[in-house]
Amino acid sequence: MMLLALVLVPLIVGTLLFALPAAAQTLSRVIGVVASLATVVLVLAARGDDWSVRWLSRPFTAAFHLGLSGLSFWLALLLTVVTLSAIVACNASARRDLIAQLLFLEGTMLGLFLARDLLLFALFWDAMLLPVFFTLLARASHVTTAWRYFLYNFAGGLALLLATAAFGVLFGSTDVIGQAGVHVIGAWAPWILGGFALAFLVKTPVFPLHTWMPLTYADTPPAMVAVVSAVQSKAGLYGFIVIGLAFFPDYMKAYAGIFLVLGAISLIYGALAALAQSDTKRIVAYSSLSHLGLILIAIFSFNTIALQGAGLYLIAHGIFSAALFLVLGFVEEREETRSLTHLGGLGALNPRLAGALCIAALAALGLPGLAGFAGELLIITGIFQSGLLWAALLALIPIVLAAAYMLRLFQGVMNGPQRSDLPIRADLSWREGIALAPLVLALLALGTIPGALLQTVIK
Amino acid sequence: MDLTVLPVALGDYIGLSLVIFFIGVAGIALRRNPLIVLMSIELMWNAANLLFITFARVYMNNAGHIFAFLVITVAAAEAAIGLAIVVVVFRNAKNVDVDDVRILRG
Amino acid sequence: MIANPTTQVDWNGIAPIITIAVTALVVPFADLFARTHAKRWVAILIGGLGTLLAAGLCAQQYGSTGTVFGGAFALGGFTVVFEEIVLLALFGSLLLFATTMQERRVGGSVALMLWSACGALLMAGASNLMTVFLGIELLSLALYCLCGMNDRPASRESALKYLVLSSTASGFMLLGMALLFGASGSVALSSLTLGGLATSSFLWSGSALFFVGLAFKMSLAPFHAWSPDVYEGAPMPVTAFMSVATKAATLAVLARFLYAALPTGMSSAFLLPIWILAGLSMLVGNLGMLAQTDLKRLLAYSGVAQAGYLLVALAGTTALGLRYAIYYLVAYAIMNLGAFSVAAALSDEKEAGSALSAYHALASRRPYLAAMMSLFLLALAGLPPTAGFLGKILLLSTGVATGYWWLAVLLILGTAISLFAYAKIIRAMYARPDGKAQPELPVAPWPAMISIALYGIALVVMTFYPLTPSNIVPFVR
Repeated sequence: MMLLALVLVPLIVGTLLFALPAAAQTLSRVIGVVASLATVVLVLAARGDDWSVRWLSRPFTAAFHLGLSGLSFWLALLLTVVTLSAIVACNASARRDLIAQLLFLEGTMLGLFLARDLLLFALFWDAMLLPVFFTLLARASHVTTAWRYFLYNFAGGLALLLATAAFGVLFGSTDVIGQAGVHVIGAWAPWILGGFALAFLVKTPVFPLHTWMPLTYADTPPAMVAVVSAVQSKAGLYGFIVIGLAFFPDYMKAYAGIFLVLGAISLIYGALAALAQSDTKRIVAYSSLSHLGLILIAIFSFNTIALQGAGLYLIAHGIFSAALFLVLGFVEEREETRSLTHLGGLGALNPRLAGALCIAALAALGLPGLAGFAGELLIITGIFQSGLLWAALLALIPIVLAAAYMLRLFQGVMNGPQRSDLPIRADLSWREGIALAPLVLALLALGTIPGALLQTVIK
Repeated sequence: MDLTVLPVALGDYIGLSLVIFFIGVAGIALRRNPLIVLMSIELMWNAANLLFITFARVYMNNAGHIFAFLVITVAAAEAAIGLAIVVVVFRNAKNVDVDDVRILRG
Repeated sequence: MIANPTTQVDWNGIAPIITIAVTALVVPFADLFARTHAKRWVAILIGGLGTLLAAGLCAQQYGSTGTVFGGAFALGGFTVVFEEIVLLALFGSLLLFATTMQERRVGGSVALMLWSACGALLMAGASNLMTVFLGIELLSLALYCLCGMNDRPASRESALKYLVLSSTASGFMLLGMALLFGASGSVALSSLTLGGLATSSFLWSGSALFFVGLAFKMSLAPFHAWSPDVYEGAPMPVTAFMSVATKAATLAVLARFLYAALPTGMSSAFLLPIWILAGLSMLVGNLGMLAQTDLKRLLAYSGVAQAGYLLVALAGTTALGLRYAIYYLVAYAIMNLGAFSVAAALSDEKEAGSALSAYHALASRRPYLAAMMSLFLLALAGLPPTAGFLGKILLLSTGVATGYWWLAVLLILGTAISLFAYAKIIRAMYARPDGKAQPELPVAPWPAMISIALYGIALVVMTFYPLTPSNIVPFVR
């Protein structure tokens, strides 16, 4: 029941927020913080729980089956912590609707990661698109972005739906996630895998299905994009691990070439594109494309070490990309611009802000001692071990490029002469510091003692 | 099916019925006067009636006769409603032409 | 041969129909004696009570079997389920009279709608060709009048259009019935299943014409051209009733025909055109929605597409598929009634709520109605957490399981297209007010508001407790 509560608390609180008057912004933020704190506690308390109720018995068996173990637990923890940080980071101008949508996003994605049933997974997959879609849609200037985000992802979601129905019909049950010994074989299996893979590739995203992503990341409010980039983008990779690898191992191997090539292109293209951008959020968006491409390669190298590294890097990327987007959001709030050509020299007057961006950027470029390093190292070792020499060598290139674009980002925002045309604002406030604190602590913790996570994230 | 009870061949009955039916269809498609259109609809229905009665004779089953009477009754109701609607629609019009009925885009 | 009917008269079997018919007689009389400003509510109250009574009587017959009136009307779960859906549509549509339509016309309209429902109920249980014909005509004749019940010229015009096109379709169907009678020598649907008929040319041509008539009533493409016009012109409660009850009753006849009347050994190629029509409807309906500016027209095209979805479940004619078709039909009935209820709550007798422009920035003026409308539109689009989502999954799995994967793919494709149209409305509702003066919104009475909430709750609950009737064997043998 605790798991059910975990999914329902954010959804119900989010719905109730709409009953508040739209002007009650402070109250809605307080309620949002309390609710998201409650979900963090619930995730920690409910670890290892399993809850199931029968849903359908025909045409295939399906259940409301929630479970919290392994990778699910870590992603759920990541999600709840990032959501908490994001809501704390919302400043006084954040509208009630944004808090409610953040809670909806949290609830639907918790449902996705906790789902032990494919049909439930598909339900939450479609549902988690709606909060972002409606948040974007509510702003007249972002309507195109909203549609692009939704159409790409909903097209993927429909493919997932069809694949789920076909899976259910062929296998007789969708209550399978996390179970060993489920292997789908037959002439239909590649098509079903194709349906799942399409949804996952769009969501991750992977070249050439990524074109919705830079726009979405740039236009979504910083608090929400932190959650989307940190956690929603992991849904696809999570799907590859718990559905693709678990149920279709033979076909995953047979078609691995396609995914490896797509991953490699994303890896290089994302890094190069990040170098060429001048919009701070787009730099991080393209760096995500690159990093997630690396994880995709790791998954399709079918090597235990690489897979463990992928699990670790999933979490690490979630933390540092959330931190990056939140800090860049603070910068944008202060200076009202995201362009590197207008920003500069903020570091001298805002040392705490500069420090936060520095830690997040260093983690993103894989500095030893911070979260990104251990994951990258394991992944590349694993890829070498699996014999994919070309992929391993390719994977080294973006590590160099990451140093370049992350330092360029940091320098462009913080270093250089002070710009006279930028307004001078206060440094990082207590509230903003508290929002970033759990993320920074997690970056340090994962960088120094990754073993705690490694043992449980992927068995 | 006992075809000996028919004074002429079964195919002729069916043929006649189909001819009447398609005269009705053509009337609906080609004529512009709503009254003629309503009459054409009656023609289609009565073509079916002829077929019902033919088969009632072939099978010696009076269900066909009953069906034909049912159709005639319903057709009377349909004609009454149809005429009423035609009157309402064209009350203020000088000419009675279905081409004038074009507020709705189709 | 028809047996002596007097020995088989069972008034109990058609008690729901008699109840509705009696109510239809009582309503105009009550209307005569009611005070001027009570006419609206008197008609709705009497009609609603009659409907509830009929629904109760109907539910009691769920377990019964056999036929009454010499095989003319079948009893049992199949009939009961479809009757209840018709009564649901009737009840929901009656509530819409609370805000729309001129007061002096409500009594007559309610009576006509009850008569129309009688026809639909008759179709739900029809097990011979005569009952089918009588049901369809009773349903349609009352609807022709209802369509013209408004003073707008468009309303009268829709009545004429509907009358001419529908009667023509009935003509084709009647010819088909005559040929089917010629094939078997009996009007009973079950007689067609007798051996040796599978290759009869009368059966083939008769069924084809019969299907054309049904496809018209169900507004399947390419026989759908009437529905946007008629939906737009008809008064709002009538549109709501027509969209649900006609589809439900026609689906009952079609399902009974497909499942129980066609001879075994009939080749599946014979039915292929129906599934092609279903696929075509999904595309035409969803594409047609995109350019609409009127809610009723939009829902008409949506109905074309949804009729196509429903048929995906029947492709392959499995018993399970029929259950899912019924599940989806119930879901469709609820979401459609919900959408129309919101539109009616924004309308007075001028029906301002049917123009899509009325929904601009609705969320800032009527947040509850905007939220519920969004839910209904999401359900129509098949998004969670609504019964539309689970219904789609069930339809998809039936399509895949019976080998009609191309229908499943078309369903997915159609869903993707439809999303543009539905989301456009949601977006308009949540847009910021543009400062232009908006007409004053009427305040809907509480029963309307409660019914909207109930529809919403039902849609969510149905997702998580998907009850599908098990006792729905449509066989009339």
